Parts: sequence; C-alpha cells; structure tokens
Amino acid sequence: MLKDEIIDFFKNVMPLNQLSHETLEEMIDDISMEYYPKGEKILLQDGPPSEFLGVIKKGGVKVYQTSETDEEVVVDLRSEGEHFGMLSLLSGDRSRNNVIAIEDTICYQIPKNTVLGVLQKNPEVNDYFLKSFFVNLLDKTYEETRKAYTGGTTGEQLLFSTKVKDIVRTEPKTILPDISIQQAALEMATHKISSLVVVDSAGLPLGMVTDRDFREKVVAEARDVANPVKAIMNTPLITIDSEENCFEALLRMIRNRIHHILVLEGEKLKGMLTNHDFMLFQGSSPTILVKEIGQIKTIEELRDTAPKFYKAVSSLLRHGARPHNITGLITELMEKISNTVVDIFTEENGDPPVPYTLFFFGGGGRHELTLSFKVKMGVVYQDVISPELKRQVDTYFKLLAETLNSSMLACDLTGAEQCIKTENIQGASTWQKQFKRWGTGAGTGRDTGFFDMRAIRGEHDRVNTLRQYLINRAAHSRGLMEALAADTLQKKPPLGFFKDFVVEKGGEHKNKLNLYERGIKPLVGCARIYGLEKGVMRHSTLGRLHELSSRHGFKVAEDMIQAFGYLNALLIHSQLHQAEEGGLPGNFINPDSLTSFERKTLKESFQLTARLYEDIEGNYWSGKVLP
Amino acid sequence: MTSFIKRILGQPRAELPDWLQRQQNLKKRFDPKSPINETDFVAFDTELTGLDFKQDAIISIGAVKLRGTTILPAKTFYRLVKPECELKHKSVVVHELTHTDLECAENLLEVIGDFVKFVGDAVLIGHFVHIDLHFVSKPLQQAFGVSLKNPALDTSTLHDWLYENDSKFARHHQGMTMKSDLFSMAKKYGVDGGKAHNAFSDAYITAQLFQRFAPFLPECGVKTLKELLKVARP
Repeated sequence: MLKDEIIDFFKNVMPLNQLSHETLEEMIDDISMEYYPKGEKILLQDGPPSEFLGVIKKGGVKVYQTSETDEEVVVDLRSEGEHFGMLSLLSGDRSRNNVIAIEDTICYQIPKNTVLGVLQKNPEVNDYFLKSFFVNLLDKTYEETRKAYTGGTTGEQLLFSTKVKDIVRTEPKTILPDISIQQAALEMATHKISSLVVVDSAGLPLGMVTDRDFREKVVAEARDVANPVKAIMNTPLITIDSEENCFEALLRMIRNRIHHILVLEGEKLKGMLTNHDFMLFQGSSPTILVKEIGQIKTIEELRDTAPKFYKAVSSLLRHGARPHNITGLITELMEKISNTVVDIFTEENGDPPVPYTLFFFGGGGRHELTLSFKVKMGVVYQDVISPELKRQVDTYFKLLAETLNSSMLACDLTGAEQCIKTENIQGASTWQKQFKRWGTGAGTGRDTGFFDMRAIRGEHDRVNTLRQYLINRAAHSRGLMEALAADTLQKKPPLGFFKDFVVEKGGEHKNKLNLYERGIKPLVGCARIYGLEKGVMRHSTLGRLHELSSRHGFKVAEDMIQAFGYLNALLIHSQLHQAEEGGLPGNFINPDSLTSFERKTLKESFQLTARLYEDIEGNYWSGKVLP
Repeated sequence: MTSFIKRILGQPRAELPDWLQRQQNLKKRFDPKSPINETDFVAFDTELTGLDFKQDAIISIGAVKLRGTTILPAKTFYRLVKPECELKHKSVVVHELTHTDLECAENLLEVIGDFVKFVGDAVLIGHFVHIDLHFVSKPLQQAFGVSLKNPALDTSTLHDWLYENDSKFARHHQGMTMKSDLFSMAKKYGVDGGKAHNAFSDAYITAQLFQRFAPFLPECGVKTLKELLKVARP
C-alpha cells in the first residue's frame, strides 16, 4: 500500500537505494511525512539538532548559513530525492545550517535512531553520506561544516581544514649568517637536530642548512670550516604562510622535492614543518601515492597507477578538497610520473645531445588536469645548427616522445591521445618563429593552450621566455587577440534555443554532454582572453580570475570562479563515478542523471559563458578573422 | 448465536464489546485545550454501495494516522467488506436474516470493530465526513444501539472557512477551487494520492489536505483542538 510506494520512492534515492528491500521495509515502520509550506523554516542555524533525516518527496529546500555580518551564504539547494538534516543528526549538538522550504515541500522523515542503526549496519551508505557532504562545492562555508562534522566524530586532523599554524610545533633553531660552519655544526650537534635556519639580525630568515649541506658542501668539497655558514646555506627558502592550509604546504614540498618547509607569519619565522608532521594525517592516501610514485623505478611499475589516482581523489574529496586542490594534485602527480619516465629513459638512453626543457601546456600547464588526464607536453631544446647534431637531436627526442606516449598509454593516464606530438618538439627559435606566425590567419597551428605552458623539467627559463614572448605578442597585436577570441568563441555553450541542454545526437556519447569541451574550456578561454588583455601572467584559470577580480575590478570574475569550481566538481565526481563503474573516466556527463538543482546550476554556468561570449564578440572580434 | 441475533435486531445496550465500551466514555479523556500539533488524528474514508443513508452500506474503509500534522505512513488501515456479503447486507436491514447473512454482518462489524480499535481516542478527519460517520455508526447502532463517539472534523468545511477568513491562504494557493470534491481539491493543492483509487488513497489525500491547510491555522487564532473543531465542524 503506502509503504510499497515509499519503498519504490526510496529505491530512487541515493544512497537509500543501496539498502536491501528488507532494510527499507524495517526503516519505513518509523517514518513520518511532513508538509512545509513555501517559506517555512525547517531547521534553524544554531537551533536544536535535527531529530530526523528529511528526504524530499516533492518541492525543494534551501540550506544556508547566516554569517556574522548577516550575510546569507547558500550552502545548497536540494530537491526531490535529496535529503537534509544529516549533519546535525550526526553531530547531535545543534543545527549548523538554516533549512527553509523554497517551494511547498513534502518530505519523509526518518527518525534519528533508525538512521543511525542503518548507517551502522550498512557501511556503503555511511560512506555515501560522508562523501556527500563534500559534494556541493558551491558552498563557501562547507569547509567549516566539514570540520565540524569530522571533528565531532573522528577527531582526525585533516589536510584541508587544518591551517599550517595549527600543526607547526616548535620554532626551529636559528643562526646568524656570519657564524662559522664549525660553530653551526656544533650547535646542531648540541641540540641533536638536522637543520638550522639562517636569519639576519632582525630575525628574518635568509636560508637553511641541513645535514646534507655539511656532507655535500663541506666534507665532500673539503671546505674550510671557519667559513661563514652563509656560504653553504640553501637559498631561496621555500616557505609557506602560517595561514595556508596543510595541503598547500604538502603540495609545495612535493613540488620542490624538499622535506622541510619554513612557516612564516608575515615575514617572521614562525616554525618549520617536516615530512614527519604530515604522518599525523593518518591514512591520507595522497601522501602515500606521492611516496609510491617517488619509489617507482621501472615503467612496468607505473601500470597500476590510474586506480590509485582514483582512490587518492576519492579520499581527497572525503577530506574536503576543493576542485582546484584536486586538479592541482593530479597535475603534480602527472608531473612526477612524467619526470620518472624521463629519468628511466635517460638512464637507458643517456643524456640528451643538447639541453632541453620539458613542459606541460593546456590543462597541465594550468594545474587543471582532471581524471581524464589528457596531459599535453612539449619540448623546447637549445637551438642546433649543425645538421649532424640536428639528426641526433631528432632521433633522441623521437625516442623520448615514443617512450612517454607508450608509458602514459600503458598506465591509462592519457587515453588514446598522444601526450607528446612530434610537432611539439622544437628548438627555441623554431618555437618563436611559429608563435610569430600566429594571428596571421587560420592554419598557423594556433593552440591557445600554449599560453599556459609551464616547464616541468630542465631550465625553466627556456619555456618562460617563450611564454613571455607569446603573451607580449598578444598584448601588442590586435590581430592575434581577435584570432584568439575567434578560437575561443568556436565552442558554443551547449544551450539550445529553449535554454535546454544541447546533447550529442548520436554515437558513443549519445544524449551526453562534453562537460570539459563545452563547459570548462569556454570558461578557461574567456579567463585567458581577459587575462591577456590585462597582462595577467598567472597560469591557472582561478589565478587569472582572482587577479582580474582583485587588481582590475573585473566583477564577473567572481561568478566565473564559482561556475568554474562547480563545473570542475561536477566533472570530477562524474569521473570518479565512471571509474567506480570500471570504465575510464572521460569528459562526458548525462544531463538527465543530474538533479533538477544541478541542472539549474549547470544551466546558469552555461548562461554565464553565453554572456561572456557576447561580451568578447563585441569587444574583440571584428569579424575579420575567420573562425 | 441467538444473543447475537438479538443484538443485530437492536436490543439497546446489550453487553458492549470492550472496544466499543471504551469508546463510550471517550469524552472524559478528551482535552479540548490540547494544542493541534499534540493531538492524534485519523484521516479516513469509506467506499459505499451508494449514498442512500437507509439502504446503502460500506464496501471498504481506509485510514491513516497523524500525530499533529505529521502523517505516519506506516500507521495505516485498509479493509474490505466481502463484496457478496455487502450486497446481501442490504437485505439484512430490510428483510429476514439468514445464516450466511449473519456471517457477512459479522464481517462488516468485524471490519468496523477493527477500525474503531485502530482509531482509538484519535480525532477523525474526513472530507464530507458526516457521510462516512453515518455509515460507520449505522451498523453499530443496529447491533449495539450506540454510535461512534470520536470528535470529527471536515476538510471541506476547514477549506471553506480558511478561504473566508484568511486572505493569505487564498493568496498562497491562488484562489479557491470551485469544486469541493476530494479530487478537485487534491488537484488544486498538488496532493498526490498515489496509484490506486480506493478508500485508502482517499483517506491519504484527506490527510494531506489537512496537512496543507493546518499551517495557516495558528495565524487565524486556531491553536487548540477545540478551536479547530469549531471551524471545521462537519
């Protein structure tokens, strides 16, 4: 009767659909059904905790917080088949959000004890609830929410909520730059420590000396121990501000391959973090994955990497990572893997005939790789004149490219596309000549992704100089800007005449939508164009937008940041889901599988892009440059 | 068996069964000042052979409990009176009794008895509830000479009263439906009765209509059960 209807309904509600029919039947015995007219407050922030899990049968609610300044911060909009009240039900102390009916809303209410019982007996459902708190990335405050939740239940410190200042323990020992090496060594021996921070008389840190410097720079080089310690200190210092989160610190340590990082408060030395400090974050698999990749010695061992990525990303989401944290980590790991492959290659094939720089461009350059990877690389090598050397160079890099392509393919990290193409291996001056031709019309091999090129191995300057050249050219050439605008406008946002989604009409991805090509890439393109216009040098889309917003008062940037975050979150979740189902994560999503609010947000993001396009079309594209 | 026939034939106050006995002093337990949201309600509906108060009878009863305005979907009641019995039951009233008819009468009384037990002390809710009350009470009258004592309220009356007295209500629901039958109202107020159309789904719709109307009551000064019964009298 009624129960069967409710069970049928729950069978379409994530994650209740994971429960057996019997469990659902039991659960329904204690259920109630409530009606809230539009505008009624269901839960009050800081009010009593929810005594039930609300599952929306019809209508919709808004979950929001009121800030100290009385500003309303929307955490989420939930509609049919979605739930609310879980957080305060679990914490049991108070409601963290306001929940208000924004339509006439009917919901089923499952009492607290029933929910807790089900969670206990069904770990997969438990997992989902934990995860789903981090799903909605539009929420500015959800980090706080998540902290409150995890703080209450597991007591585990977490990478994203914990600021560096919260885990930095003691101030490191310092030493003045003119003290002798011997004195410094004595100091370290007395305190039984392995490093010293060199500071000036005002206490501002200048550099660092570690055990290794004594081995490599003093003993191995037979240096006079009466020399001042500044002669052997490491500069520049890799530092992190105490207000940053621990994930950022970890990322910076991975990036610079260091084991210590100095923590600054303003300019003042606050303390030091070491690898060991991160051991405190038990079981956070990103650290483990980084370690594992670091230990890989043969390409064969890389084969099983992709599933580990999925695991790491899934765990990151659970730890409260934002989309840019995740794409940042994926990119760092891809860099590490690429470097490992090249290390292995160099060991087997010897050093290159000429120095070169390996770089990422496109998403990799922007630190924006997702689980579909699709990393794109290129090589800039020192110009060669002699034909004999040129032949050697060509052979060497051809082999390197083949090795990179086949290894990435083998570990499912690039899909069918080659990560490095022959045409993207050039001498510095050839690159420059090519960039010079850009803007003179179609067919010049223009790829806006090169504006985002970033060195990952070798002398960084080779790539930085090229990029600077390219950006300068765009700044001075109206024609090139118009051409770039035309390139960007090519992919229209997938909104139809009636503002519905335009999906693929046939083929493998019938009725699906390429979220990257149609959603993320247009936003990236717009941010890039505006950035170029204003001379913003940042690589990442978010970096560009933040700078546009803060330095240039570009108001729409805030909206773009939100939309960009949302689209990436949606894509990563969909990719994880694809991976969980045993497929290779791609960029397609099915709009029909989204909830009505997700669809609404998606549409709004596309409409934002459509408005940006109109703006760009009006400003840049004179119509002279054929798309 | 003879004493039972006597009951059917209407000897007043023959020994009442426990469930009916308990009914009779309900008034003593009844607290008119209790707030609406702490009151137990049962929304119910009956399916009838027709609307002739004298000749027709109940085919089925459906009901669902509410605590305040919260529907309790697991606390439901739905029973059919055997169809062949129901037809012959008409003759019970008008004509002589036969052995099989007795069984059927028992069947009807059994269903109504279970319903009365299900209802307990709750306040009844129905749409045009006087009709349902009549058909539930009639067999009780015939058999025991007593009727159902539970207070009852009518969603159709409540609706009209709200429409007259609360401009917000009219605005919220963009005017009143011209038709006041259950289905027109359900449609008007976006109430979903489920797949089946029977006494139970109608009771469920009635419960939801009550749920829709109730939020407007406090601002109209209707907070206690007494006040509610006054404005939603059948």
